[in-house]
Amino acid sequence: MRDGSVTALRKRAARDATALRLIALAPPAVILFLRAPGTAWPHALAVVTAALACALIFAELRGRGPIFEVLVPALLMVLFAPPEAAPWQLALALSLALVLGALVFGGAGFGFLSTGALALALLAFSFPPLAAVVPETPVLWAALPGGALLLLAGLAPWRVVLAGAAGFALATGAGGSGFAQGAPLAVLLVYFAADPFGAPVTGPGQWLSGLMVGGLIALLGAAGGPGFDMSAGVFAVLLAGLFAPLIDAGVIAVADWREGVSHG
Amino acid sequence: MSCLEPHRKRAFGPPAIVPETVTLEAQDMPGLRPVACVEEGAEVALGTPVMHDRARPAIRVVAPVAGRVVRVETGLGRRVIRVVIRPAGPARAAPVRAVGDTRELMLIHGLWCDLRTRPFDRVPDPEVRPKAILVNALDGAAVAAAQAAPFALGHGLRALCRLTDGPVILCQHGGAALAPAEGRVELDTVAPRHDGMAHRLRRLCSVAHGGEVWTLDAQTAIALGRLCGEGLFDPTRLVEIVTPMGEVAGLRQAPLGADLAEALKEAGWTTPATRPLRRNESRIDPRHDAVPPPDGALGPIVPVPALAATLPMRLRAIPLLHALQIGDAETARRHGCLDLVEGDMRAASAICASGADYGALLRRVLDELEGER
Repeated sequence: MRDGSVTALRKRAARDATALRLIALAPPAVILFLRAPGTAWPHALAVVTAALACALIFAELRGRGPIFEVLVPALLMVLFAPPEAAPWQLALALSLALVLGALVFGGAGFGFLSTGALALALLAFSFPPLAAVVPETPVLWAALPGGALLLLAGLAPWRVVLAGAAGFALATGAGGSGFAQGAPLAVLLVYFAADPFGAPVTGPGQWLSGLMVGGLIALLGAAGGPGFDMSAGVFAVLLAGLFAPLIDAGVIAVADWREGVSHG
Repeated sequence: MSCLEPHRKRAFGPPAIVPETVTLEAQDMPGLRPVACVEEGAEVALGTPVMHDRARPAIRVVAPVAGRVVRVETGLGRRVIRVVIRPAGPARAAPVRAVGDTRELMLIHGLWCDLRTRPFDRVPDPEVRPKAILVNALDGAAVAAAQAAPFALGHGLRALCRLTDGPVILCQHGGAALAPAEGRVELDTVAPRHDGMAHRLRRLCSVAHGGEVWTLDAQTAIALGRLCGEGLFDPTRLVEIVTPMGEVAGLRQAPLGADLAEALKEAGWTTPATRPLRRNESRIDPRHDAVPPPDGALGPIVPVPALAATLPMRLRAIPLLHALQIGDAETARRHGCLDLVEGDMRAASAICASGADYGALLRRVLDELEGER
């Protein structure tokens, strides 16, 4: 085929989804390991072991299933969990999130929530002071190219990201957002809100869901003072994710109704 | 070729395939119960009926070559599976007495079996009048054939108008018009290179909310035009052969049912088995002939835009694929699956990571919906 490389990438994206998402997350993870080896290594060891153990047990029980998709939420957990958390706490929260958010539905891709956001939210629920944090600036920088790759490949719906940014800007009055706010917001939107399995699949639904995420981030974060709050972001994504199937159903119902009107 | 064409592009056309055997498959008459009307060992002439539908004997398949019937394979209840003919010589167009209206001509000369209905992808009932007829000139072979015979194509399109009260729409990918738009003949020359007949149908005259549309290949329209305009019966078709690398190896001319193994070997296929040229087939692509994966448990659908773009359903594409995976016929119908046939699902099956054979899943759902009618 004489397809361009971008077209080829977009065609392969579905088959290589796990690999592409891991590639996108690799640079920030490497930077994190270099800058804070003291906390990153134990965290990574704990979450990867827990994630693979859960996936293996379920793969064994069902007699099916690739298991490496669980590494994506595991890496997100390492990147966004607070450094003071103990490894076992992360492992516990992630196992719970994987089982409840994906594995009981039949594996990654059959659930309807972003497992990374669910894991961070469960961590905050279970051990209250341990809310998700914004990673250090170099780590954020390193996450941006991966985000661009996901957007290009179509694995992160761009409408959600754009609408999320618009929603946040609208809700906060669009003022004073520099890199300190923009980069964490972008990373949150691309890696959590635009999760391929958590976001709606219809175009208008993606716009709606993105606006909802942006608005909720501003709303939930307002209590903690001005500026961007990662923890609020995670909860906003989770809340919007709960509504995603409903939004899709609504969009299709409206389309059905309009077609019914035009066909008589 | 034709003596009426004033300026033919190529004097002799693409290289012809002279097959050892010609195989007519009963699978090419979907929705019918064909029975054989020749015996093993019988001599057949060009245009002799070989099999016909049990309920409506007027719908029949005729011999594309003169020769001897070497095998008639039948299944349960005399139902024929395939008929194999050994040709006595190369296939070429021959003059016939072309009398009757379009319907009779197409039935008598076996062109009726090239028509397909949407929904359900069946050979249509001759008594029905569709709301439109779509002529497929989207692939290379059809375009080459149409450029070589513009007059015959025009004749054919005008003849097709007598089968419907609606428009006859020639679908092509941009470029110069292959035939003039006059009367009820319309042209659809939208340029996107990768859309198929499903996209055109959905846009021009969707059958998702009822109605019936017929589709046919432009080469059949040309054969019909030649029959009406010149009294020539042409059983050969152009076929585009694709190498295993995905490049077009070239055009060949072959009678319907010709064994293509020799030509495929020339195109670089490694192990070409006997591979007859099927009806309405104008592009032989090794990646389409690939064996579908063994059906284990299906993986998740990763909803990427490239996957949604393979279908004309816009925002319903991913929900439709979900409905097909779980076999929910009613939801699939609501999402517009009646506009689709198995062949439209190839790209989706290739891109989707779930390993689903959407063609087979769609067929199951369509069969269920057809049974409910």
